[in-house]
Amino acid sequence: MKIKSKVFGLTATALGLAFSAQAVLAECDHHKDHHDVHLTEHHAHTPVAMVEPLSDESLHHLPAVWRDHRNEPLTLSDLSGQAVIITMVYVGCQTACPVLVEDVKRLYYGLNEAEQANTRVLVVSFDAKGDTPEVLNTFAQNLGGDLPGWHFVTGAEGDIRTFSSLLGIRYRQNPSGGFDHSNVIAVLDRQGEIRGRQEGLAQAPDRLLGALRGALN
Amino acid sequence: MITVRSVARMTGGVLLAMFIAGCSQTPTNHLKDGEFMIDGKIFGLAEAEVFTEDYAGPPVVGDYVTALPFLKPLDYKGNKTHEVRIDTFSQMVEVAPGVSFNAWTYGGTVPGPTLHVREGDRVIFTMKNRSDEEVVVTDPVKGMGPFYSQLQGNLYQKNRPSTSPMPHSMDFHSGTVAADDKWRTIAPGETIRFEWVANYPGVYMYHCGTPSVLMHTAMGQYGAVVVSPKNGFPTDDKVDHEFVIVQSEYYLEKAGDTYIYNHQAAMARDPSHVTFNGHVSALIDSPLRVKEGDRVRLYVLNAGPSDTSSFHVIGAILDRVWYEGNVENEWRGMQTVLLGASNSAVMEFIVPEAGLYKLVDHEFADAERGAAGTMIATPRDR
Amino acid sequence: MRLHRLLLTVCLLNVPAWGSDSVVIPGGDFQPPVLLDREIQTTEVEAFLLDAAPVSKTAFAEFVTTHPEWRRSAAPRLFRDGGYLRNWTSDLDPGVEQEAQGTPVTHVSWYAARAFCHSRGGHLPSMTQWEYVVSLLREKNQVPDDEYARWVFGWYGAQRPVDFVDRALGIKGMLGLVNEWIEDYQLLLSNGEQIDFGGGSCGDTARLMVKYDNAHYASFLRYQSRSNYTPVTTTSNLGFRCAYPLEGAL
Ligand SMILES: [Cu+2]
Repeated sequence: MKIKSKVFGLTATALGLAFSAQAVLAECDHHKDHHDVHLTEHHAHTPVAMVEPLSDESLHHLPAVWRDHRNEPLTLSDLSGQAVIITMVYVGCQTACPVLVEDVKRLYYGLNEAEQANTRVLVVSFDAKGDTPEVLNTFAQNLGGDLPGWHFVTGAEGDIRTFSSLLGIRYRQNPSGGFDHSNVIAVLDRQGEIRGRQEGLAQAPDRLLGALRGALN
Repeated sequence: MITVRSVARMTGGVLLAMFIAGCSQTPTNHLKDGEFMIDGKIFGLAEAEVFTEDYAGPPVVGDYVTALPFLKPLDYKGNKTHEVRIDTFSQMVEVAPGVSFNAWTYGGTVPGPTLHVREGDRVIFTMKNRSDEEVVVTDPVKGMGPFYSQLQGNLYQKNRPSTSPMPHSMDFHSGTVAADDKWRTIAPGETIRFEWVANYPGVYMYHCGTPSVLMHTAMGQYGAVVVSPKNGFPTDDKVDHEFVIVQSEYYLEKAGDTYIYNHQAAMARDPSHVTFNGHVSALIDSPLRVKEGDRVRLYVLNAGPSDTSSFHVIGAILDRVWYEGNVENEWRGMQTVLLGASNSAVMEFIVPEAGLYKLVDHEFADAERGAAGTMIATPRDR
Repeated sequence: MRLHRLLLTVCLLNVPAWGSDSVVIPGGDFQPPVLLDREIQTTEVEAFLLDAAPVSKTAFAEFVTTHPEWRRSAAPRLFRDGGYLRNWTSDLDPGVEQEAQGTPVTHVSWYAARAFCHSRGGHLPSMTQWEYVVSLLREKNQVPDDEYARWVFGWYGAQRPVDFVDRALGIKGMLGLVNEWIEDYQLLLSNGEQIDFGGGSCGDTARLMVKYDNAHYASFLRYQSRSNYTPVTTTSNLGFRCAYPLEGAL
């Protein structure tokens, strides 16, 4: 199932006007990629600037304090100024979760070193009770994810639910104790806004890589 | 940025303002990025967009969008890209004298507006879930297509605004897409936009697909799309009148001053009313008006949600019938056409002489619950 | 059973500040009316405390007074849609003069509702807790199944307020006053190997039904409709109440 999304925040005037006024644009000269036009506009008015107040849509608004697999505290706003790759898993998950981490690695290694240096990876566990920092540490090591800038984190149950809802990730503990969940990888830009999002496992990384490069620009 | 599900929240903004106006005589097969073609049909359309917008304009927008029983003729050649908006919101509608209920509607009427396009046309569709707003459809609207003038010319449902916040969706049977993407449910306040291409000609149902789909459709969320064949029907230049008739059932019970949906009756397929164009008297108070000798074409859709229709014109024989509205499916000399839920047909007959004709669902239990209409034929010039 | 006095004492001990009219919901077995798993499950629900009534506009106004980050002018769009606290006359004034004091607050997002409950030392009820209470209300007040179904369909279909007074637990609302946020309101179901959000699958009903009677269809409608909100959704008939753990209170 998809919670797809791909429209980029745009500023403009009333939609009603758009209908009548813009409709005149004929398409005889083949299809211009109008999305691109808007993307450019969007970039134009959001230069990277640390002093800017948090944007309305920034995930940095989330005050939750996480604890990572090195047992260090972490809040999302700590990641300000860096691109972030995010996924959600749990350690007891045999099938999907290692694949998700593998997908994240592929994405990460698709970046050059300079880009990697400006990118953090956040793997958030669904399992607040079971996945302690120690458990996550072993998990990270086993999957080759114990890398600089990578954080396998746990937090309060309520914060996990908030976080997942911000990313459109649904999950539910099933009667056997595991978690049913959607498989999502998301990319945050330096301001903490979601710039890319992908559902499903083992997908080609191109689209998210593009989003990531856009986020890093 | 991309937000999740509710993609871009527009601060009063235009999003994708660059809509495409159709160019007459353009060949159909303009593929957009990511699309592919099989047998001349276009598939692989872009993902739907869900966002919030501060839109408070007319809930129905489109040059080829009409109120029942009208159909807007296609006055362009070749193919065209249509921008269509049909918002979903609640409305008090009357379905029989003294029987009104808080309907869930597309565009404020039950059935919703009729969209007319040509095989190969592309539709860019926008729908806002305004079920938490009081949307007025009885005020004059300028330049937004024929729907409002037709509706306001005959407010037989006595449409009055109401609210009833509910999640809803839009499923066009005329589109060939992944339903979990395009037909997905949006919450009150959200807007969805997606495209579909009219790959196949026909008379199609559209409806809300949000569970309980029985309730959402029985509450009034359905309507018709007519996709005319690329090369038309063989009788196109002989036809004198075109009308659209949508049959559907209501399952209502009295509760206080008004009526409410009765799920038990809906499950038992025991309708309180069966109607043509949403009101037991819609086609009786405003009969279809023709002349003897005219060739009349009806676009008939049985929207259900659960019943069949055995459509019959008393005193006429259906000269030609194109089942499902596809020119390839031609029948001749039919007395009755059986339509399952969401089946349709284009039916033509010659008006034999001046007089009064009844259109009925020949399943008489349905006719006696309202599925009947009138056509009045005046003498021809001899 | 009301807890006014008990709670007053407890508040002095500086445990969370529950509203003075929370109700103890006794523990018990609950069979969800909607099949979220392949087997019909019976869940054991522990006793908990629940607000007797939906959170009022007045209470929410107090909350935004002490929590400026949740005022209409301050709360980021990340956490609410454009309708948040719509119709309030100002940031702090819900404009309830003409209305009864207890008018439930609506036009609140899931995030805002959770923040409110958190500030009171509680949380939004879980789906199991909330639906369990509905089952208790029906059982203890001996509401006939068809009557219950008519209430639910009348409420969702036509916003018909339900004229029901609970004489067993002292609960107000829950059926036909306002819809209420719960913590885990989004359904998650599987389609083969694909996870489905149970959001928009036309006709996808029967496999989720425990029983094919009117009352179960009514409950299903509530589960399903609720599941289609987004966490930022605000509507004119969507409010909430809070739950609290019982330990610490007694
Ligand atoms: Cu609907």
